[in-house]
Amino acid sequence: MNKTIRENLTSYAFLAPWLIGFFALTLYPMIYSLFLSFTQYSLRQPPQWIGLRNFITMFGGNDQIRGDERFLNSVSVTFKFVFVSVPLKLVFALLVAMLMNKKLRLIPLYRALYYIPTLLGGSVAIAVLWRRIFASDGLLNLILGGVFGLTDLPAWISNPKYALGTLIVLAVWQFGSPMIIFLAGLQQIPTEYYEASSVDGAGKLRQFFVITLPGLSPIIFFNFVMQMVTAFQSFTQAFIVSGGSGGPLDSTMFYSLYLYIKGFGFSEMGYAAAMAWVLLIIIALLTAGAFKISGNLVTYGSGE
Amino acid sequence: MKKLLFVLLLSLATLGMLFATGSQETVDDGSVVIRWAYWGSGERVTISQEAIDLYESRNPGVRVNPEVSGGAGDHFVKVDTQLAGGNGPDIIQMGGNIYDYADVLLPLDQYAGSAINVDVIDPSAVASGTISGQLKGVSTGVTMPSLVYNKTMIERAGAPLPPKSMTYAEFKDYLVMLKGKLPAGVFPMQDIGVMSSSSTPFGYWTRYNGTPLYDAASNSTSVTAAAAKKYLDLFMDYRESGLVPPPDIASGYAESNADTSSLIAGKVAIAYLFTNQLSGYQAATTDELDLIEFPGAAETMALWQAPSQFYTVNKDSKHPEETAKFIDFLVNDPDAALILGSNRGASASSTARAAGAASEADQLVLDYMEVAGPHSSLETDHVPNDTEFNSTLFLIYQRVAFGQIDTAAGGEQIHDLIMRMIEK
Repeated sequence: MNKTIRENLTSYAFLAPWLIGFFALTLYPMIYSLFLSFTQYSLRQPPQWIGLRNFITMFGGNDQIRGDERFLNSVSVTFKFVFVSVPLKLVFALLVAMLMNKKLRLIPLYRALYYIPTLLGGSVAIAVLWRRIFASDGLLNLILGGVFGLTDLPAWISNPKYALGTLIVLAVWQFGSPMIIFLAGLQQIPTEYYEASSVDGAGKLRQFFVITLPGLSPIIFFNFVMQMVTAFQSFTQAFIVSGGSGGPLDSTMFYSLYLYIKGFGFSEMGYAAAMAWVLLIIIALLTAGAFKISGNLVTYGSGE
Repeated sequence: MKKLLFVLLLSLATLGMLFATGSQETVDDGSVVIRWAYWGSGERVTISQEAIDLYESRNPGVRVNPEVSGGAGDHFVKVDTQLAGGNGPDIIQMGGNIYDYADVLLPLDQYAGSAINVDVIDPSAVASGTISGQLKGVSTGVTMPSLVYNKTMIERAGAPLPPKSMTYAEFKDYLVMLKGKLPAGVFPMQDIGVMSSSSTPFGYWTRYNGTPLYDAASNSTSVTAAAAKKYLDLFMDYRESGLVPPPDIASGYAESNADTSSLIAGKVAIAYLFTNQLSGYQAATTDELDLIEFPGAAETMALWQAPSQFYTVNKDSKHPEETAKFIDFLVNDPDAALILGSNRGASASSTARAAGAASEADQLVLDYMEVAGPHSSLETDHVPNDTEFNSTLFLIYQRVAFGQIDTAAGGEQIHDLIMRMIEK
């Protein structure tokens, strides 16, 4: 055996755990799901090829004009969720990061404390807690009624007008990971800029818009894309809070929740696979769009 | 070369770890492991484990591993995935959807009379688990739809208890009377349609009106849009009279088990329940519960008895014989019967029944069935695609309850839905 091949083999052997994981657990299921998206598959019978029918059912066209109402509703619910919760979360994270950037006593403790919601946020326990807080006789209404004397309060979590709002609040509350990244970004901006500008008479607000924001723009962009991608795939909160139904009135029917219900509840695995690919395309297009727009807005350091 | 061999071995070992499956068929001490998948919570989990403990103590060398899901929905998600992956459990608890699974179940005829004593099981129960001439499931017992009421709450309010049988007119009068006595924020009746699995009470209503949901032989429904509208109108009337909670309160309760029940939460006095669920619900509250019939059952015999669930065996089970023996224990053994009670239905086995009722809840179920049994007729066939039917029925009902559409449009949508499920 020639020496290079042997050396390569050794490296492949060491890489094997990762490679096997990648091929068997990532690449193969992905390709298989692409195949499934053109089939009808109930898990109990072998998949049957039906061409583009899943996609036609989703969006309408051909013999049926309207498309799958519940699917289209889930797209609209998810877009609302993403484009309200992500900007709110980023603003909130940035504000807290700027506070955390101050030289105060106990600041490491505060940083840790504000990060906790992110560690807990995706968990089932918090979703269950959320359900109780926003129930008709939950903590929020107890406070609103007891302290502020308000009456006729809605059951936030089970009212179609407010249910999505409670999930948005839950998402915004988990601002920890963008906060930490913002904090790192803030500490990268050289303090000389602030010193020089204050000598020139710039106020705090002006410094924020002229130094902080441009300095942070790559970080903001990174956080936006990451949070957007994660938000599109949100599942746990809606599943737990709505008791798995996406209710009331499908108002918390996130895209991935409907995908799950279609696949495992209604045994339409092919349709669910097709939905997964449509979601991939939506996210890819939006990310590409974000990169395109960002060209003018994001300034990268000149690099020394 | 030695080094290379070592590295390759190492990576093989890693591979082995990656693909090692979690389910061992036999454990190190050589005993047989039976995997038993079922859904349920609270009481059912406790008593099932007690039954397992008893069986294991009598049968050294056999171990039973329960695989429990909270609700039927989660249970079938898990089982479907395991079956598709060739890693299904040995015993699968089935419901009315046993027909959908017939292909993946082991015919138990070869064990009937040997491992499983079917002679002591009611012939109707054996028939209910027989599909195309093969015994595919052993009935866990019989159950009936019913209304459950909170006796303690009604007594505390100073109202008379409801009689077991009422007409719809009497029932409404009773609810109105109850409404006057209950404290603010507590409602006489659960809003049945705002629960995620409402096809059973809806099915009762269609039987009561002589328009059954589905007939498998002719693959047709007798429900018209007008008939479905009447159901929505009935509850619209209850809602507007404050007899059921407003929709946003009602949909705060998933009503999938005692943990998510508005009755157990003390929000309503009367709710819908299958009789086999009574002991589990009773275990979740200190208030006393009791059962009455759906209104109008005495005049129309619209109630029915149904197999509560089935114990079925995966056709790929490695230990079918041992599994069959364990099922025999669960359904026929008097000691197991005392432990399991009526949690999975009133037993259809004469040896189990001879053990008597162990709990008060079981006695209440027997009392109820004494009255309701004669007010029953043969069960209507299940609408195909049951999960999707329930999920969409629930959505349409909510549209009406939240005022998004009127009852006429709701009736149309329900009719369209049934047609779509039948044609699918």
